[in-house]
Amino acid sequence: MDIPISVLFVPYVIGLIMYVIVSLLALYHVARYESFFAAARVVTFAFIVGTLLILIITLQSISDVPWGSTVTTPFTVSGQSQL
Amino acid sequence: MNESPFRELVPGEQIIYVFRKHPFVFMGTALRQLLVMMLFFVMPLLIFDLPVQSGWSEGMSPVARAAVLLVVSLVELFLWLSLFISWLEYYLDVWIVTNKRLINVDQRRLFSRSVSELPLEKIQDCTSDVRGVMRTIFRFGDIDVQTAGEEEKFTFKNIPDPEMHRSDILRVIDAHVRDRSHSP
Repeated sequence: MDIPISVLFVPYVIGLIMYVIVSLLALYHVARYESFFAAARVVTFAFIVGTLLILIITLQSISDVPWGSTVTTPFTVSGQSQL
Repeated sequence: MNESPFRELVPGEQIIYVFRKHPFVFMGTALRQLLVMMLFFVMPLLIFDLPVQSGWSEGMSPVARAAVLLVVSLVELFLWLSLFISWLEYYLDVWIVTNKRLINVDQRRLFSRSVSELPLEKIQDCTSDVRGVMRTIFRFGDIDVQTAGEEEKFTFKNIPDPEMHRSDILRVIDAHVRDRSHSP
């Protein structure tokens, strides 16, 4: 059975969605309670920049992975071995 | 939108002081989290490149390499988010001294916040406490505010320069008591 490597993106995207949800909740706290303080704005900006930096480094790191290729496993979908 | 306690002041009430915990308290947490982030940042290098350069192995398969990179990326993101939330908990935890009351905003977790207040006229005693080497070196400690009878006791933990802030609070209380005795 051939599995495309790109299937690894599924748990990653699920993790990213969770990250975005918790981040939005944290940013909501900033907006609700302390939005008028300069320090809160600076740290929020740093948080967003840091997030983008991690994502950019990740994209650069995985750019050489052959995402179009597949991996052959010795198992079929029904769980019977092909060996 | 903004529900800061700064907006909950009664007419004639003025903010005199706003205290936060000493930055040392947050710095300890921040340094630990940054150190873990650094470890995870260099982990792919240790896993992928060092064994190949040392001739121990021919390197990982593309699948394993991709999986490790994506896992490390997610871990880095959540550590970064955790650091931001730690800062938020530190920053939203404040003591506000007004000319009428003490307001304690206790931000324990992201979704655990309590606001309590103490009228200045009920305060009977205010003590500062600095214990420990680090606290003495960096000059931070606790301030206990005791009210009359068996009412609530406020403890402000890890406040920078507690002796000075204790004097500030006592000065505000004295001014408040004078104002009340002069008012008709």
